[in-house]
Amino acid sequence: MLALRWLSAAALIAALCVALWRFARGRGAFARYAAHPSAVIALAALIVLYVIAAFAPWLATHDPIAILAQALVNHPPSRELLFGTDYAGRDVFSRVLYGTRISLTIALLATVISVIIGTAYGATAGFMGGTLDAVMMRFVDAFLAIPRIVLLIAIGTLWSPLGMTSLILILGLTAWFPTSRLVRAEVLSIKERDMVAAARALGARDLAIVRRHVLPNVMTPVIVAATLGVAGVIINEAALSYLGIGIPDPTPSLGNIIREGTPYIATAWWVALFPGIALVVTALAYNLAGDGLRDAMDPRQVDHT
Amino acid sequence: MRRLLAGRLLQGLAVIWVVATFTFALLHLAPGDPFSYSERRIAPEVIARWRHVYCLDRPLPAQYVCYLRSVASGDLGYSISQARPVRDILVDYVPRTLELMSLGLLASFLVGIGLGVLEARRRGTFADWGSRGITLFFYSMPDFWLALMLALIFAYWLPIFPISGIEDVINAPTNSWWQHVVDHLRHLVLPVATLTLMTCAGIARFQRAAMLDAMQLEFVVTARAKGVSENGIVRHHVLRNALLPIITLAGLTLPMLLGGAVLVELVFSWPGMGFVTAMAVGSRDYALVTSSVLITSALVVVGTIIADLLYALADPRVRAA
Repeated sequence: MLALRWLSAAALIAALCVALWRFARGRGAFARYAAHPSAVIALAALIVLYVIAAFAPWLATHDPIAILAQALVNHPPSRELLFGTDYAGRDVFSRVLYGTRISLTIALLATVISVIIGTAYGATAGFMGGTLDAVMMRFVDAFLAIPRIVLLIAIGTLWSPLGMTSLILILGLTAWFPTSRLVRAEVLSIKERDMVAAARALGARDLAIVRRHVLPNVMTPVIVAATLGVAGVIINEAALSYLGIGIPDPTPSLGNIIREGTPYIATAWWVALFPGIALVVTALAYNLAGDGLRDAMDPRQVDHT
Repeated sequence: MRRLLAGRLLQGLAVIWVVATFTFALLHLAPGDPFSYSERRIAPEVIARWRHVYCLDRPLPAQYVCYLRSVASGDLGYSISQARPVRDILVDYVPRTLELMSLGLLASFLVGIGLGVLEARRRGTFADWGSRGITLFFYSMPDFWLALMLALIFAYWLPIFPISGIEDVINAPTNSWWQHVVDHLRHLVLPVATLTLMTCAGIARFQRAAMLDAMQLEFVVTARAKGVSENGIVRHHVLRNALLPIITLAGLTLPMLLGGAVLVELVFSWPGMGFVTAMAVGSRDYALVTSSVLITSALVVVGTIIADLLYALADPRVRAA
């Protein structure tokens, strides 16, 4: 029965990939993206990951929170229990599926928050210029000097335990500093272009210029940075859960599954190994996809290959 | 040069002031104050005295001034989990983090620059492709998981390196000084390897791009036209120019290394700043955690200033400006 479910999930993924491929073939940026085999594989991996995340309840073999049996504590991987069980006798395979779902959701939402704030902040600083710009950017400099994980640990410790919503907010609110710098630099160069001067001569207001001319031109590097940023957020979320300030125990997240496996690493290595592989695959896929996007969307910054 | 240094120092001070204001805001906005979670291990009179010392019984503006003054004088508060001032804790733990950091920085630059040069010279070949793939693979790993896996493979499965700590506690008392050194170095291998694998991808990528940029400069074409060997071109012309921008990267790599050190130190029980920070999480030690924010950012600021000065020393065009 379960094999059938996995087969149909695989068919769905294959259909999605084929549809994307046919849509992409021969179209400017899409063709440039498709020219990178690694980027295409990364995109396929991301589709697989999101399908798994979306259908986690349907694909899981067991209840991720249920304790199977006392005899099944730290049980090694087998045909029944694909990734083995943890110290409490819970199925690691199902926990990893649900954990991927939670980690992907948090990372995506946190990245959306950070992109919105970073773009608004950077665009304001770059467009206004002068003292305001200088003050705003010194502020960003200060926060870039704090290692992000140390900042997150401090906030997490003071407000622990964090709920899912506050975790998303905190990850988003601490991730926008590099984006704002990037946007500011882009805005500074766009501001000098003729189209902006022309719009101003025609009597356009600042807000209209920003919306019609500046933001659309800024979006390309922002999308690339956001894609690469998701990988960082996923890793930071895992680190917080690993430290015990992220998602609390019975609910699985990739970080807290590794946390529970750490004391038993010498004997029950599978508990820490498999969620880590899921994390690496996710982060690597986002990094490769981001590199592919940069080459495809921003021909000025082409990597010399 | 002197003006450059003065400007950088001023900027650095501004950064630390903003960070200190931020940690003050954090402490103030958090539920309770640094002494609320002491689990009655410390007598109430003692806590009341410390509250008074850190001005927590005074109005907010006075607290802020008091906080800035104590930070400026190096007094970072009182740690409830270790029942002693944070400054004493830092004196014990920061040097071990600096040891780990400097070795990690050195190793990741050696490996990163080496790989970058290799990739640029073998551009488009399997070696280039493979090296970039492998470094990106390690870059995508969560640092704590990489550390765990290295410990699993090289300490549990193949008992080559010690699992944790800074020295072998059983043999330490009888070791000669030479055995001490070897033992300590063996304990350093896995943490430094983790930090190196984590950060060398960025350095290699940067070095590769800088090499490829420098290879297109006109004096390289001239050298090639004069018949200088390909090795000579790389060594004398390309590498020299490509190494300059990488100095700046040292300043940018520091936050990543310091952040990575937190979890790497935790996994390997390396008694440094990061280890203490991670341990402070469970005991809700406000003063220790916020001091860690201040100290790591101060280290980053100092590192960046050093990198800027080195850059100015290496490049006469900047020095003159």
